[in-house]
Amino acid sequence: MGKREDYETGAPETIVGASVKIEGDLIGDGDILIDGTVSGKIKTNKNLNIGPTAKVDADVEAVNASIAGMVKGDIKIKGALIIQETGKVEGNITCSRLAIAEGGHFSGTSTMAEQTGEISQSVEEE
Amino acid sequence: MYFYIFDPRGEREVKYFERIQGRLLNTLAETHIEGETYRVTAIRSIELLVDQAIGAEAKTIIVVGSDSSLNKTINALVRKKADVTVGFISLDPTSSLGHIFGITADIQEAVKILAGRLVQTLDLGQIGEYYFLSKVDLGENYFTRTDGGFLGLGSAMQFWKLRPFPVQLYLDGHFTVMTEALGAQIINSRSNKGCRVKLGNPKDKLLDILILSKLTTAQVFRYRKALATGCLDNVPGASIFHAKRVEIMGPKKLPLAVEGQVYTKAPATVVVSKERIKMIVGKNRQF
Repeated sequence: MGKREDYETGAPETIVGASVKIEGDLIGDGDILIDGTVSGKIKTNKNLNIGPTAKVDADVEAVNASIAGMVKGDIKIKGALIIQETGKVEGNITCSRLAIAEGGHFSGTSTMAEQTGEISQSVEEE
Repeated sequence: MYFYIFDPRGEREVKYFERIQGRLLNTLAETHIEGETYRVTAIRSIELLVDQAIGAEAKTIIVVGSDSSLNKTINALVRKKADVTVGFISLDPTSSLGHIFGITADIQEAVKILAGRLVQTLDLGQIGEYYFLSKVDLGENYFTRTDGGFLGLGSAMQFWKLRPFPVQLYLDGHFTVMTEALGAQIINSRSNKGCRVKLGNPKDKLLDILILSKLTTAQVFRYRKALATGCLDNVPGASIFHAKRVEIMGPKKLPLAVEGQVYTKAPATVVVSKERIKMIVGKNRQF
Protein backbone atom coordinates (compact mmCIF):
# COMPACT_ATOMS: atom_id res chain seq x y z
CA MET A 1 0.00 0.00 0.00
CA GLY A 2 1.09 3.56 -0.60
CA LYS A 3 2.95 5.86 1.74
CA ARG A 4 2.26 9.43 2.78
CA GLU A 5 4.88 11.56 4.45
CA ASP A 6 3.40 14.94 5.14
CA TYR A 7 0.68 14.21 7.62
CA GLU A 8 -0.36 16.41 10.48
CA THR A 9 1.84 15.56 13.46
CA GLY A 10 0.62 12.50 15.28
CA ALA A 11 -1.99 11.48 12.72
CA PRO A 12 -1.67 7.89 11.57
CA GLU A 13 -1.25 7.41 7.86
CA THR A 14 -3.75 4.61 7.56
CA ILE A 15 -6.92 4.35 9.61
CA VAL A 16 -9.31 1.42 9.54
CA GLY A 17 -12.58 2.66 11.05
CA ALA A 18 -14.65 0.60 13.47
CA SER A 19 -17.26 -0.52 10.96
CA VAL A 20 -14.80 -1.28 8.18
CA LYS A 21 -13.91 -4.84 7.25
CA ILE A 22 -10.66 -5.64 5.43
CA GLU A 23 -9.69 -8.88 3.75
CA GLY A 24 -6.19 -9.32 2.35
CA ASP A 25 -2.72 -7.95 2.97
CA LEU A 26 -2.67 -4.52 4.59
CA ILE A 27 0.94 -3.57 3.94
CA GLY A 28 2.22 -0.03 4.46
CA ASP A 29 5.23 2.12 5.27
CA GLY A 30 3.47 4.40 7.74
CA ASP A 31 1.64 4.25 11.05
CA ILE A 32 -1.52 2.15 11.03
CA LEU A 33 -4.51 2.50 13.35
CA ILE A 34 -7.04 -0.31 13.31
CA ASP A 35 -10.45 -0.06 14.94
CA GLY A 36 -12.27 -2.37 12.53
CA THR A 37 -12.00 -5.98 11.38
CA VAL A 38 -8.98 -7.27 9.48
CA SER A 39 -8.31 -10.76 8.19
CA GLY A 40 -5.18 -11.63 6.23
CA LYS A 41 -1.88 -9.96 7.04
CA ILE A 42 -0.78 -6.63 8.50
CA LYS A 43 2.72 -5.31 7.90
CA THR A 44 4.21 -1.85 8.45
CA ASN A 45 7.65 -0.32 8.85
CA LYS A 46 6.30 1.96 11.54
CA ASN A 47 3.88 1.76 14.45
CA LEU A 48 0.71 -0.26 14.71
CA ASN A 49 -2.12 0.66 17.02
CA ILE A 50 -4.94 -1.82 17.40
CA GLY A 51 -7.89 -0.17 19.14
CA PRO A 52 -10.33 -1.72 21.62
CA THR A 53 -13.04 -2.30 18.99
CA ALA A 54 -10.67 -4.05 16.56
CA LYS A 55 -10.90 -7.71 15.62
CA VAL A 56 -7.78 -8.92 13.85
CA ASP A 57 -7.38 -12.41 12.45
CA ALA A 58 -4.00 -11.92 10.82
CA ASP A 59 -0.27 -12.29 11.15
CA VAL A 60 1.17 -8.96 12.21
CA GLU A 61 4.56 -7.30 11.61
CA ALA A 62 5.47 -3.80 12.83
CA VAL A 63 8.22 -1.80 14.52
CA ASN A 64 6.20 -1.01 17.65
CA ALA A 65 2.65 -2.05 18.50
CA SER A 66 -0.05 -1.37 21.03
CA ILE A 67 -2.91 -3.83 21.20
CA ALA A 68 -6.18 -2.96 22.92
CA GLY A 69 -8.42 -5.18 20.79
CA MET A 70 -8.50 -8.84 19.79
CA VAL A 71 -5.69 -10.35 17.74
CA LYS A 72 -5.53 -13.93 16.55
CA GLY A 73 -2.29 -14.66 14.71
CA ASP A 74 1.48 -14.49 15.01
CA ILE A 75 2.98 -11.13 15.95
CA LYS A 76 6.51 -10.02 15.04
CA ILE A 77 7.53 -6.67 16.52
CA LYS A 78 11.05 -5.22 16.17
CA GLY A 79 10.69 -2.90 19.16
CA ALA A 80 8.09 -2.72 21.91
CA LEU A 81 4.78 -4.50 22.12
CA ILE A 82 2.18 -3.40 24.66
CA ILE A 83 -0.92 -5.46 25.30
CA GLN A 84 -3.37 -3.05 26.90
CA GLU A 85 -5.90 -4.00 29.63
CA THR A 86 -8.61 -4.59 27.00
CA GLY A 87 -6.21 -6.40 24.66
CA LYS A 88 -6.50 -10.09 23.85
CA VAL A 89 -3.79 -11.90 21.89
CA GLU A 90 -3.93 -15.52 20.74
CA GLY A 91 -0.73 -16.41 18.90
CA ASN A 92 3.01 -16.38 19.12
CA ILE A 93 4.85 -13.17 19.83
CA THR A 94 8.38 -12.16 18.84
CA CYS A 95 9.49 -8.77 20.13
CA SER A 96 12.31 -6.92 21.92
CA ARG A 97 10.21 -5.52 24.75
CA LEU A 98 6.86 -6.79 25.96
CA ALA A 99 4.44 -5.22 28.40
CA ILE A 100 1.08 -6.69 29.37
CA ALA A 101 -1.23 -4.41 31.32
CA GLU A 102 -3.33 -5.84 34.16
CA GLY A 103 -6.37 -7.41 32.52
CA GLY A 104 -4.58 -7.96 29.22
CA HIS A 105 -4.85 -11.50 27.83
CA PHE A 106 -2.08 -13.40 26.08
CA SER A 107 -2.20 -17.03 25.01
CA GLY A 108 0.79 -18.42 23.10
CA THR A 109 4.57 -18.34 23.20
CA SER A 110 6.68 -15.23 23.43
CA THR A 111 10.19 -14.95 22.10
CA MET A 112 12.24 -12.02 23.25
CA ALA A 113 14.75 -10.83 20.66
CA GLU A 114 17.44 -8.24 21.35
CA GLN A 115 17.42 -4.97 19.40
CA THR A 116 19.83 -6.59 16.95
CA GLY A 117 17.19 -9.12 16.16
CA GLU A 118 19.01 -12.09 17.77
CA ILE A 119 16.92 -14.32 19.97
CA SER A 120 18.09 -14.31 23.60
CA GLN A 121 15.45 -16.30 25.41
CA SER A 122 12.15 -17.99 24.86
CA VAL A 123 9.31 -18.39 27.36
CA GLU A 124 5.88 -19.93 27.19
CA GLU A 125 2.88 -18.22 28.72
CA GLU A 126 -0.80 -18.94 29.17
CA MET B 1 3.55 32.07 -26.28
CA TYR B 2 0.49 32.44 -24.07
CA PHE B 3 -2.82 31.19 -25.41
CA TYR B 4 -5.91 32.30 -23.50
CA ILE B 5 -9.17 30.36 -23.48
CA PHE B 6 -12.06 32.42 -22.12
CA ASP B 7 -14.95 30.21 -21.05
CA PRO B 8 -17.52 32.06 -18.96
CA ARG B 9 -20.55 29.84 -18.36
CA GLY B 10 -23.88 30.74 -16.87
CA GLU B 11 -25.42 34.17 -16.55
CA ARG B 12 -23.47 35.21 -13.47
CA GLU B 13 -20.07 34.19 -14.83
CA VAL B 14 -20.77 35.87 -18.18
CA LYS B 15 -21.77 39.14 -16.48
CA TYR B 16 -18.71 39.00 -14.25
CA PHE B 17 -16.46 38.26 -17.22
CA GLU B 18 -17.90 41.16 -19.26
CA ARG B 19 -17.21 43.44 -16.31
CA ILE B 20 -13.59 42.38 -15.74
CA GLN B 21 -12.54 41.59 -19.32
CA GLY B 22 -11.04 45.00 -20.04
CA ARG B 23 -9.19 45.14 -16.74
CA LEU B 24 -7.93 41.59 -17.22
CA LEU B 25 -6.50 42.32 -20.69
CA ASN B 26 -4.85 45.50 -19.42
CA THR B 27 -3.30 43.67 -16.46
CA LEU B 28 -2.02 40.90 -18.73
CA ALA B 29 -0.40 43.52 -21.00
CA GLU B 30 1.13 45.36 -18.04
CA THR B 31 2.70 42.15 -16.76
CA HIS B 32 3.89 41.21 -20.28
CA ILE B 33 2.02 37.92 -20.41
CA GLU B 34 -0.49 38.88 -23.07
CA GLY B 35 -1.16 36.47 -25.91
CA GLU B 36 -3.80 35.20 -28.27
CA THR B 37 -7.26 35.21 -26.74
CA TYR B 38 -10.22 33.08 -27.80
CA ARG B 39 -13.67 32.74 -26.33
CA VAL B 40 -15.48 29.41 -26.20
CA THR B 41 -18.71 29.42 -28.21
CA ALA B 42 -21.29 26.85 -29.24
CA ILE B 43 -19.23 25.90 -32.29
CA ARG B 44 -15.77 26.59 -30.86
CA SER B 45 -15.31 24.10 -28.04
CA ILE B 46 -12.46 23.94 -25.54
CA GLU B 47 -11.18 20.82 -27.33
CA LEU B 48 -11.01 22.72 -30.65
CA LEU B 49 -9.23 25.64 -29.01
CA VAL B 50 -6.72 23.31 -27.38
CA ASP B 51 -6.02 21.79 -30.81
CA GLN B 52 -5.57 25.29 -32.17
CA ALA B 53 -3.18 26.20 -29.35
CA ILE B 54 -1.09 23.08 -29.96
CA GLY B 55 -1.07 23.85 -33.69
CA ALA B 56 0.14 27.37 -32.91
CA GLU B 57 2.92 25.86 -30.76
CA ALA B 58 1.68 27.60 -27.64
CA LYS B 59 3.84 26.81 -24.60
CA THR B 60 1.25 28.00 -22.09
CA ILE B 61 -2.53 27.78 -22.12
CA ILE B 62 -4.37 29.96 -19.63
CA VAL B 63 -7.93 28.92 -18.87
CA VAL B 64 -10.20 31.75 -17.77
CA GLY B 65 -13.37 30.08 -16.58
CA SER B 66 -14.67 27.52 -14.14
CA ASP B 67 -13.29 24.30 -12.66
CA SER B 68 -15.14 22.48 -15.41
CA SER B 69 -13.32 24.56 -18.07
CA LEU B 70 -9.96 23.67 -16.52
CA ASN B 71 -10.86 19.96 -16.34
CA LYS B 72 -11.92 19.92 -20.00
CA THR B 73 -8.70 21.67 -21.06
CA ILE B 74 -6.53 19.24 -19.14
CA ASN B 75 -8.36 16.25 -20.58
CA ALA B 76 -7.91 17.61 -24.10
CA LEU B 77 -4.20 18.28 -23.50
CA VAL B 78 -3.48 14.87 -21.98
CA ARG B 79 -5.22 13.09 -24.85
CA LYS B 80 -3.04 15.02 -27.29
CA LYS B 81 0.04 14.27 -25.16
CA ALA B 82 0.99 17.92 -25.53
CA ASP B 83 3.86 19.44 -23.58
CA VAL B 84 2.01 22.59 -22.57
CA THR B 85 1.94 24.38 -19.22
CA VAL B 86 -1.52 25.27 -17.93
CA GLY B 87 -2.54 28.36 -15.96
CA PHE B 88 -5.93 29.17 -14.48
CA ILE B 89 -7.92 32.29 -13.72
CA SER B 90 -11.15 31.42 -11.98
CA LEU B 91 -14.35 33.29 -12.74
CA ASP B 92 -16.02 31.52 -9.82
CA PRO B 93 -15.10 32.77 -6.33
CA THR B 94 -16.03 29.33 -4.90
CA SER B 95 -13.72 27.45 -7.30
CA SER B 96 -12.28 24.45 -5.50
CA LEU B 97 -9.46 23.94 -8.01
CA GLY B 98 -8.48 27.61 -7.71
CA HIS B 99 -8.23 27.17 -3.96
CA ILE B 100 -6.26 23.93 -4.25
CA PHE B 101 -3.72 25.56 -6.59
CA GLY B 102 -3.51 28.74 -4.54
CA ILE B 103 -5.04 30.95 -7.23
CA THR B 104 -7.36 33.59 -5.85
CA ALA B 105 -10.50 34.86 -7.60
CA ASP B 106 -9.01 38.37 -7.52
CA ILE B 107 -7.99 39.08 -11.11
CA GLN B 108 -4.89 41.12 -10.35
CA GLU B 109 -3.61 38.58 -7.83
CA ALA B 110 -4.33 35.74 -10.25
CA VAL B 111 -2.39 37.50 -13.04
CA LYS B 112 0.52 38.10 -10.65
CA ILE B 113 0.59 34.37 -9.92
CA LEU B 114 0.61 33.58 -13.64
CA ALA B 115 3.42 36.06 -14.23
CA GLY B 116 5.36 34.54 -11.31
CA ARG B 117 5.25 31.28 -13.25
CA LEU B 118 5.78 28.86 -10.41
CA VAL B 119 5.29 25.64 -12.37
CA GLN B 120 4.65 22.29 -10.70
CA THR B 121 4.23 18.93 -12.39
CA LEU B 122 1.13 17.33 -10.95
CA ASP B 123 -0.41 13.87 -10.88
CA LEU B 124 -3.72 13.24 -12.54
CA GLY B 125 -6.29 10.75 -11.40
CA GLN B 126 -7.91 8.67 -14.11
CA ILE B 127 -11.34 7.09 -14.08
CA GLY B 128 -12.05 5.27 -17.30
CA GLU B 129 -11.06 7.64 -20.10
CA TYR B 130 -11.48 10.74 -17.94
CA TYR B 131 -8.63 12.52 -16.14
CA PHE B 132 -9.19 14.57 -13.01
CA LEU B 133 -7.18 16.87 -10.79
CA SER B 134 -9.26 16.80 -7.62
CA LYS B 135 -11.32 13.85 -6.38
CA VAL B 136 -13.96 11.28 -7.18
CA ASP B 137 -17.06 11.19 -4.99
CA LEU B 138 -18.62 7.75 -4.62
CA GLY B 139 -22.40 7.61 -4.34
CA GLU B 140 -24.84 10.46 -4.27
CA ASN B 141 -23.78 12.02 -0.98
CA TYR B 142 -21.51 14.98 -1.73
CA PHE B 143 -19.80 16.76 1.14
CA THR B 144 -18.86 20.39 0.68
CA ARG B 145 -18.25 23.18 3.16
CA THR B 146 -21.69 24.37 4.27
CA ASP B 147 -23.05 27.06 6.50
CA GLY B 148 -24.19 25.14 9.56
CA GLY B 149 -27.07 27.49 10.30
CA PHE B 150 -28.25 28.27 13.84
CA LEU B 151 -26.25 26.04 16.23
CA GLY B 152 -25.43 23.84 13.25
CA LEU B 153 -29.03 22.61 13.11
CA GLY B 154 -29.28 23.39 9.39
CA SER B 155 -26.38 21.10 8.56
CA ALA B 156 -27.68 18.37 10.91
CA MET B 157 -31.04 18.39 9.09
CA GLN B 158 -29.21 18.20 5.77
CA PHE B 159 -27.01 15.27 6.83
CA TRP B 160 -29.91 13.33 8.37
CA LYS B 161 -31.41 13.12 4.88
CA LEU B 162 -28.34 11.32 3.50
CA ARG B 163 -28.74 7.60 2.97
CA PRO B 164 -25.75 5.32 3.67
CA PHE B 165 -24.68 2.93 0.92
CA PRO B 166 -22.58 -0.26 0.88
CA VAL B 167 -19.18 0.08 -0.73
CA GLN B 168 -16.54 -2.44 -1.67
CA LEU B 169 -13.08 -1.38 -2.85
CA TYR B 170 -10.05 -3.40 -3.89
CA LEU B 171 -6.82 -1.50 -3.29
CA ASP B 172 -3.59 -2.05 -5.24
CA GLY B 173 -4.54 -5.70 -5.73
CA HIS B 174 -3.72 -6.36 -2.07
CA PHE B 175 -6.84 -6.06 0.04
CA THR B 176 -10.57 -5.48 -0.03
CA VAL B 177 -12.29 -2.78 2.01
CA MET B 178 -15.95 -3.31 2.83
CA THR B 179 -18.25 -1.04 4.78
CA GLU B 180 -21.53 0.81 4.74
CA ALA B 181 -20.57 4.40 4.06
CA LEU B 182 -22.21 7.75 4.45
CA GLY B 183 -19.56 9.25 2.18
CA ALA B 184 -16.52 8.06 0.27
CA GLN B 185 -13.92 9.93 -1.76
CA ILE B 186 -10.88 9.02 -3.82
CA ILE B 187 -8.65 12.07 -3.62
CA ASN B 188 -5.84 13.22 -5.91
CA SER B 189 -5.90 16.76 -4.53
CA ARG B 190 -8.26 18.69 -2.28
CA SER B 191 -8.57 21.86 -0.26
CA ASN B 192 -7.38 21.01 3.25
CA LYS B 193 -8.73 24.19 4.81
CA GLY B 194 -10.35 23.25 8.11
CA CYS B 195 -9.47 19.57 7.71
CA ARG B 196 -7.85 17.51 10.46
CA VAL B 197 -5.56 15.55 8.18
CA LYS B 198 -3.61 16.85 5.23
CA LEU B 199 -4.64 14.73 2.27
CA GLY B 200 -4.47 15.00 -1.48
CA ASN B 201 -0.90 15.77 -2.45
CA PRO B 202 -0.93 15.69 -6.26
CA LYS B 203 2.83 15.13 -6.31
CA ASP B 204 3.05 11.89 -4.30
CA LYS B 205 1.78 9.55 -7.05
CA LEU B 206 -0.86 8.27 -4.66
CA LEU B 207 -4.59 8.50 -4.27
CA ASP B 208 -6.00 8.97 -0.78
CA ILE B 209 -9.15 7.03 -0.03
CA LEU B 210 -11.38 8.60 2.60
CA ILE B 211 -14.44 6.73 3.88
CA LEU B 212 -16.96 7.97 6.40
CA SER B 213 -18.89 4.99 7.72
CA LYS B 214 -22.59 5.05 8.49
CA LEU B 215 -23.49 7.29 11.43
CA THR B 216 -26.43 7.04 13.81
CA THR B 217 -28.88 9.94 14.06
CA ALA B 218 -27.27 10.93 17.36
CA GLN B 219 -23.78 10.80 15.83
CA VAL B 220 -24.87 13.01 12.93
CA PHE B 221 -26.12 15.58 15.44
CA ARG B 222 -22.98 15.29 17.56
CA TYR B 223 -20.62 15.67 14.60
CA ARG B 224 -22.74 18.17 12.62
CA LYS B 225 -20.07 20.88 12.83
CA ALA B 226 -17.35 18.49 11.66
CA LEU B 227 -19.58 17.36 8.78
CA ALA B 228 -20.29 20.99 7.82
CA THR B 229 -16.55 21.54 7.21
CA GLY B 230 -16.86 19.20 4.20
CA CYS B 231 -13.87 17.19 5.49
CA LEU B 232 -14.96 13.62 6.16
CA ASP B 233 -11.76 13.03 8.14
CA ASN B 234 -12.93 15.53 10.77
CA VAL B 235 -15.50 12.99 11.93
CA PRO B 236 -14.02 10.48 14.39
CA GLY B 237 -13.95 6.97 12.96
CA ALA B 238 -13.36 7.97 9.34
CA SER B 239 -11.08 5.56 7.49
CA ILE B 240 -8.06 6.58 5.42
CA PHE B 241 -6.12 4.47 2.95
CA HIS B 242 -3.59 5.21 0.21
CA ALA B 243 -3.22 3.42 -3.09
CA LYS B 244 -2.18 3.83 -6.70
CA ARG B 245 -5.10 1.81 -7.98
CA VAL B 246 -8.61 1.55 -6.57
CA GLU B 247 -11.11 -0.89 -8.01
CA ILE B 248 -14.64 0.09 -7.07
CA MET B 249 -16.20 -3.36 -7.01
CA GLY B 250 -19.65 -2.41 -5.92
CA PRO B 251 -22.43 -1.92 -5.49
CA LYS B 252 -23.16 -2.02 -9.21
CA LYS B 253 -24.35 1.29 -10.70
CA LEU B 254 -22.95 3.33 -7.79
CA PRO B 255 -22.49 6.80 -9.35
CA LEU B 256 -18.92 8.13 -9.48
CA ALA B 257 -18.68 11.91 -9.81
CA VAL B 258 -15.97 14.52 -10.27
CA GLU B 259 -16.83 18.10 -9.26
CA GLY B 260 -20.48 17.07 -8.88
CA GLN B 261 -20.74 15.61 -12.38
CA VAL B 262 -21.28 11.85 -12.72
CA TYR B 263 -18.77 10.38 -15.19
CA THR B 264 -19.36 6.68 -14.77
CA LYS B 265 -20.85 4.07 -12.47
CA ALA B 266 -19.39 1.13 -10.55
CA PRO B 267 -17.76 -1.22 -11.22
CA ALA B 268 -14.90 1.03 -12.29
CA THR B 269 -11.21 1.54 -11.64
CA VAL B 270 -9.55 4.75 -10.51
CA VAL B 271 -5.78 5.01 -10.94
CA VAL B 272 -2.98 7.53 -10.71
CA SER B 273 -2.43 8.25 -14.38
CA LYS B 274 0.98 7.87 -16.01
CA GLU B 275 0.26 11.22 -17.63
CA ARG B 276 1.07 14.33 -15.59
CA ILE B 277 0.32 17.99 -16.15
CA LYS B 278 2.42 21.11 -15.69
CA MET B 279 0.45 23.80 -13.85
CA ILE B 280 1.20 27.32 -12.73
CA VAL B 281 0.40 27.43 -9.02
CA GLY B 282 0.38 30.04 -6.28
CA LYS B 283 2.24 30.22 -2.98
CA ASN B 284 -0.94 29.35 -1.08
CA ARG B 285 -1.44 26.04 -2.84
CA GLN B 286 -2.72 23.18 -0.71
CA PHE B 287 0.23 20.81 -1.20
